[in-house]
Amino acid sequence: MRRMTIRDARLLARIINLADRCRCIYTLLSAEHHGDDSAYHVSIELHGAEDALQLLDAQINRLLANDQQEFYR
Amino acid sequence: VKGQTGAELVLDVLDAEGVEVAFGYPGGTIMPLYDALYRHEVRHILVRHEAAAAFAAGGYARASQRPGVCIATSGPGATNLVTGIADAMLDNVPLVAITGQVRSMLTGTDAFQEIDVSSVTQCITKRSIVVRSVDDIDPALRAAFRLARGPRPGPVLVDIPTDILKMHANATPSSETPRSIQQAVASPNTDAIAKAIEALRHASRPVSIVGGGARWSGAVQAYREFCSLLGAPHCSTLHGLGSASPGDLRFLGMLGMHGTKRANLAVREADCIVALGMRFDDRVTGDPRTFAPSARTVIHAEIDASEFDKNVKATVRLHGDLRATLERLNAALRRSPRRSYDAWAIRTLACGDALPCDAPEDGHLSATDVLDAFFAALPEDAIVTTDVGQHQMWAAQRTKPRDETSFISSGGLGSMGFGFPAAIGAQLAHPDRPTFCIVGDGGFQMAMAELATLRRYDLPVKVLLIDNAHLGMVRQWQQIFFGSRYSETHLPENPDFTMIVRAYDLHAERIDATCDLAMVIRRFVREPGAALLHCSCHPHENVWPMIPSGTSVDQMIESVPA
Repeated sequence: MRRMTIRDARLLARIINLADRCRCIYTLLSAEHHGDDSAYHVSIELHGAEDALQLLDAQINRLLANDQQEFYR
Repeated sequence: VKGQTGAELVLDVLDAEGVEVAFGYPGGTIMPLYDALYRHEVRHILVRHEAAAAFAAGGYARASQRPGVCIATSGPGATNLVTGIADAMLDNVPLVAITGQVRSMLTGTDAFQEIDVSSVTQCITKRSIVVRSVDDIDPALRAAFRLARGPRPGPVLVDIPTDILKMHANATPSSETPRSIQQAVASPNTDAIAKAIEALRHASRPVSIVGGGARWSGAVQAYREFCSLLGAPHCSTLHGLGSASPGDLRFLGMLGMHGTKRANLAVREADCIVALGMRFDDRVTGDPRTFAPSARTVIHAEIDASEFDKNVKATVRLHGDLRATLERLNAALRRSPRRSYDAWAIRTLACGDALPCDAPEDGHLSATDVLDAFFAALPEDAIVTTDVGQHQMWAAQRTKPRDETSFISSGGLGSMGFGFPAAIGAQLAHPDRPTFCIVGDGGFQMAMAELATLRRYDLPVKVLLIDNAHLGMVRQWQQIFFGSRYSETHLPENPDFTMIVRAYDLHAERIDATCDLAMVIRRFVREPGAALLHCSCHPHENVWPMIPSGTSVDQMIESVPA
């Protein structure tokens, strides 16, 4: 299970697209918006071949780095 | 008292961010911005197709090392920017694309020229921002510029509904000053630097490879010093060209599919690879499993941690800004006892620098002869852009750029139609430098409407058109890998390009094998204004050497296999 905090909710769609592109699947996805920190708390369970998951993980890390660097919706 | 309109706020941010030139094309929803531009100092360059706006902004950014700006209306205007935005994404070019959008109340109704361009561009931008209120224009655009600049540069799209461009703001714009690319610095930790130095100490046959990261982190001087301190042979990716000191005898040229034989052989033999601001693209590595098979150590310096181990496993990761990394490596090398790699360097140079070529002698002009003559005649301060295809690789093999702004090419996306508008952008970034575009007949026909842009702004861009009446690179692959079945790559109906250029009242000349090539090229290079030299070349000349896609250096070919 990978947990992350994101500010741009549209990243969820991007992550799902990326998972599909990397031939991975997600079996669980939950996102909560508490309102206090304007962020979404996301849990996602991803499955796939080890090298595919590693590639997907790196791509998600890049998206999160951009999301953390600067947020303006 | 009414505040500024949204459109005026956009232009204020462009001013504050130091934007001198923006490339665009007006249309319905972006009209309020063009109305504000009418009485504003930002120089707007009207192109003839939005795709050219994005490519020209990319060329401007690559030449100036500042963010390029392109502007388009909603719907087709925005979607026409897409290829140029993707091009900037794959080559890490700072670009801010501003698009108009339908009125806020029409959003989601499939209104005239409504496209959710923010969603369309989400996977080809660092961020695609939708502005929801006039007071958000200033912070949204400033965020866009910061993101575009780095740490790893890239494109950002800002989509603004037309009613918000017309609306008057309440907020006072911020007076924040822009951050330069170099200021967003992360530096590798001391332990990682020590490991890299230790690995170099044990290496007998190190080779360093520089990529586009040197350009964007302002690391070229530090890289040149690194090469000098290490004293080992070094090579470059397409985007690293211009990083090595001109005349550096240890520089082996470009690596990869159409790289030099000696660069590829040196990497095959190397026991230590120092990869600097490069991402082991498949055009560089071929099959990554057989890349640098003798390397016991791969030292990888990179600003984007997600690049580590993506294609080639790194044994030492130097995560951070390349300039800061190299400065620390250089300091450590200065303190270390100096090793000599002269024997290794001489070995890597043994196979010489001659490029294999087909040298057609059947009455046709040879494209490689044209390019040899062109680069021999080129002034030192020239900027050369290329389009994509055979001419691009021939140029990359032959160019000896003085610095990182002197050779501009579309690498990651490989976008035909890039070269000519990119030259327009580069010329505007450096009006004092002679600017040339090398382009094929296929790519030029994707962008030749921009001859009007040259004419309108009296830009002295010179176009070297390598016309082999084919989509040459695709034809080459068909010859080698598809049994010479030339499907849809022959372009016998090509026009007389000189007549088209002259119709815009620009200078053009056509040459073939009967001309005095050196003399014609010298005259072309010295032409004071815009000019096109139409070179009617051999239709079947190929780019050599070539490492077929997905294979290793052992499969390098230097002529069509029997």
